[in-house]
Amino acid sequence: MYKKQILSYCCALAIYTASAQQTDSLPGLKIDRTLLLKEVTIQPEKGISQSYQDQQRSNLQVLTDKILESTPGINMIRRGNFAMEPTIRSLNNGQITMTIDGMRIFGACTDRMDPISSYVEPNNLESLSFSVNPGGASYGSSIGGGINFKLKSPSFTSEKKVSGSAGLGFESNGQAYQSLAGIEYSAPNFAIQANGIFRRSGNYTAGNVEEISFSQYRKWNGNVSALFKTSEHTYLKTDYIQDEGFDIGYPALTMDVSFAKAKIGALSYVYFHPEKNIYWETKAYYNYINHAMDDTKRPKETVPMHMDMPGTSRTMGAYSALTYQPTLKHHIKARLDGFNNQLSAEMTMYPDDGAAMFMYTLPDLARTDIGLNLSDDISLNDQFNLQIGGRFDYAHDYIFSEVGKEQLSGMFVGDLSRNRFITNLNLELGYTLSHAWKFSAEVARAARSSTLQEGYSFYIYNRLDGYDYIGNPDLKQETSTNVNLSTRFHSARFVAEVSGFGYFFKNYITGSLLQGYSVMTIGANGVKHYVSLPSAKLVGAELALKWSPLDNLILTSLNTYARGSDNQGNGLPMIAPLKTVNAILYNFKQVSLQAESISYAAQNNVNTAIYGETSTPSSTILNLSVSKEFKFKGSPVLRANAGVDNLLDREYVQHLDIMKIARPGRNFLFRMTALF
Amino acid sequence: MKKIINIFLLIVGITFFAACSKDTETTPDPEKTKIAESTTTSGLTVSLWSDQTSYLVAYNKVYVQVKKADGSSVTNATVTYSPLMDMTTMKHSSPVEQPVYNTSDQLYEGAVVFSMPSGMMGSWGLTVKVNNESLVFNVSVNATVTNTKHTGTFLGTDGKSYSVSLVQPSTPKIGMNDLEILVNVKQDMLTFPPDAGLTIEVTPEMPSMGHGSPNNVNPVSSSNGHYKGKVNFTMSGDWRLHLKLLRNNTVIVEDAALDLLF
Ligand SMILES: [Cu+2]
Repeated sequence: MYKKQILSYCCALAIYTASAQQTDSLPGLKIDRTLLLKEVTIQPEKGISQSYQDQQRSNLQVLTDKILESTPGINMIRRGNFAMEPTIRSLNNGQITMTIDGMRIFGACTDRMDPISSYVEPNNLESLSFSVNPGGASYGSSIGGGINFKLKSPSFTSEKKVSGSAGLGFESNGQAYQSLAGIEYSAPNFAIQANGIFRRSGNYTAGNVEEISFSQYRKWNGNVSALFKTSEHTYLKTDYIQDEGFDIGYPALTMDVSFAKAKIGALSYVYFHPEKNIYWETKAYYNYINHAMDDTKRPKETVPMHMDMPGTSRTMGAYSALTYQPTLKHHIKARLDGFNNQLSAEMTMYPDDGAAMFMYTLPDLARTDIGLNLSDDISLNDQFNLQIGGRFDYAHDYIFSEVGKEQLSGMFVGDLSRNRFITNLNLELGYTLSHAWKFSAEVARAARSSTLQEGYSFYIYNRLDGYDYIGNPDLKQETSTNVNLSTRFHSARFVAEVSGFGYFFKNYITGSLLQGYSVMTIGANGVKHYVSLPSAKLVGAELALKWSPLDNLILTSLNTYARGSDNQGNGLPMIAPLKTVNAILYNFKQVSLQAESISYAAQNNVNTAIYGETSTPSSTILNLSVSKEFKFKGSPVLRANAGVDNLLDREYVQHLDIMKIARPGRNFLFRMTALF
Repeated sequence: MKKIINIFLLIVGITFFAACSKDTETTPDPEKTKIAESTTTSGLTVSLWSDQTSYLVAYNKVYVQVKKADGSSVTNATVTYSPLMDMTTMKHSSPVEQPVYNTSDQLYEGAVVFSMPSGMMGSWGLTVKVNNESLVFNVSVNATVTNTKHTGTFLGTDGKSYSVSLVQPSTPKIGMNDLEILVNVKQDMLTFPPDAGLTIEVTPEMPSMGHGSPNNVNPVSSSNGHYKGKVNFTMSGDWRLHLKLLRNNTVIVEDAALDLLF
């Protein structure tokens, strides 16, 4: 049975080994690693690879955004210098599922300022796992799989043990710094850890020495996690994360954030039996996101009317997930989950004269979802393996308050609750021709419900095309037939992976102009509502190469390309162009040196009239870094690194940068982390 | 003294009303306010009630309570009323809907459109006739909240003067609201018959931002000059209702604008 997984921070630079690596999977499971995104696990701390990036990340200081950004297949939608929104193969928002330790969490911001990736930090992350598979391996119905941020957990030890970490980092651009500390206590029947991190950054400077106003941020994140052994094969686990951001600038948007707060709590009961190959976790969780936007710091002339726009998101849920390997030929996963999410967002506008005006932008919307996942990875023989999986969801959308219903009565007729059955299925066939060559083919039938925003938005302004958006409760499910073909070749010093993918959509959800509607947002181009296009497609390819001509020298090249078009052949919005990341890594004793270039081709496959996008020129930046690990007697380790991003101080933007605000110019970084 | 007793009775009544809704005491809905009271020569106590704490420059429900000396309600009186504004140099009336007895709250229920506030310009008198006995009440009429206009007089292209008043929504909310408009045409200073023969187009607007709202339903004539439709308020705040009045496809009033705030 083969499982495509990548350990270590970055697939790009992971050291390929054919040997098995232990992850959260069952013992005895042979894990095969891949450079390309399939089901990828990225481990911030545990992947003890010599690569620079691993060390950089193992100092626990890099923003989760940056870790995501440097992963092939992932591109980030950027609205500011903080809280970027991940896309997987340019699929985003409701098309992918983002979870923290399997928990469903939904951002509270109507302008998508708070993807849930902004509420986790590397120092409380065990791993990030990506999946492009919408079926059996997923945490929710989706078109393009998802990202699960697996939280770090303390572990039981045979003897009492205390360990900790502390770190400090500084970046020249934006005068940014971060500091972190963590402590863990382990014993045979009890383990607890606490971690905290604080970050702040001023305005950064773009490549042409232009300061980007409103690009600052400030945040802290703390988490506590404890394990209690309840019997030989069972334990209880509690997790709590609190993340609070303040005064976060969004230069691409018309408003900033005065605060963005998340409280995330979970209680789990785990049954594990290594001899029987069973791991069974049952969890109950609750999270609360509180978000408030702010325009009071913006220059008066850019604010036609002062507004308050707070929003909240509450999610309560539970799941029970079983991994079971009855024989070496089967690897069975089953998961039953459910959640209830409540979204509420409002807007109050204060005209210079006249009364304040109030409305809900998300009028007390809720979704209850119950889902069942089943998958089996079957080894047919030495050459063939087959993975079959399915996910079945029942989703009930409704308005949970009378005022919400009343407000929507002006827009839609009748009862607005909706029920949907959503089916995701996937089938993958793997073929091992020889030790060197492998092939796999996957087909999947993906489906997702419209998001609550797509269903019931009330004049939510979209900065990308400049339109106010109104929801459509009668959207059909967006479905897609996904095809993925991949090949891998490896020899002792060389690895090559190629994959081609296609997503063939039906009922692709997008915006369409509503004639005769007057805009709510001052200066908006018009009003759109969500509609389903009969079809759309997204096709692309990924190529990853790795060559180590010498034992301590690694060259990598990662290339991603995707092209999206709607039923009329117009380019779909938010599709990243050809991206190529080429790096050279040299290790000498405890020192690593790395140089990398990140290039994007121009994106001209855009349709300004329909999707509001403009084309983006190509860009290339160069990054350099050096790191060293100091080992001391006993076990303390000091990791230090220094680097410079955008060495040539280029002024550049990428296609997924909203409003094309220039990205940071040259930035010197210094980081130091001690583990003891 | 009698007033004090009455207030006392009212308080007792309210208490009883709250305590026991089956109470037979003839006390109107506690949400209503007594505006004035007087006694006829035959000994009937006549009082005026309002849904607000005072009558407003708007379409007002005007309730009349008629009681005998023993406190029992008179259910079969003939009650009519007529408003008159005395501006010293001239006198005028305003649109009125004659009261009809409502058994549920034991009040005679009608409506008056007070077209201007009482004050320096003049004062309003409401003549109430109960079984051929007349009583004149001096009622004070207050302006509505600043920047609002619930009734207006508009000169038509046909040379006639039209009174346009908002009947519903009386308590507007965000979302779809029932819209009811009353149109009266001025025949002379004292006569304002309802006009049921118009077509009305409604366009709401938030003047602070200039935007409107979708899905409004133009009010259509139902009875006695009342026109019923729907208005969608997408936000709370200041709203202007632009009402276009047409007769046989001819524009009579281009923009009879009423302003409300909630
Ligand atoms: Cu926001």
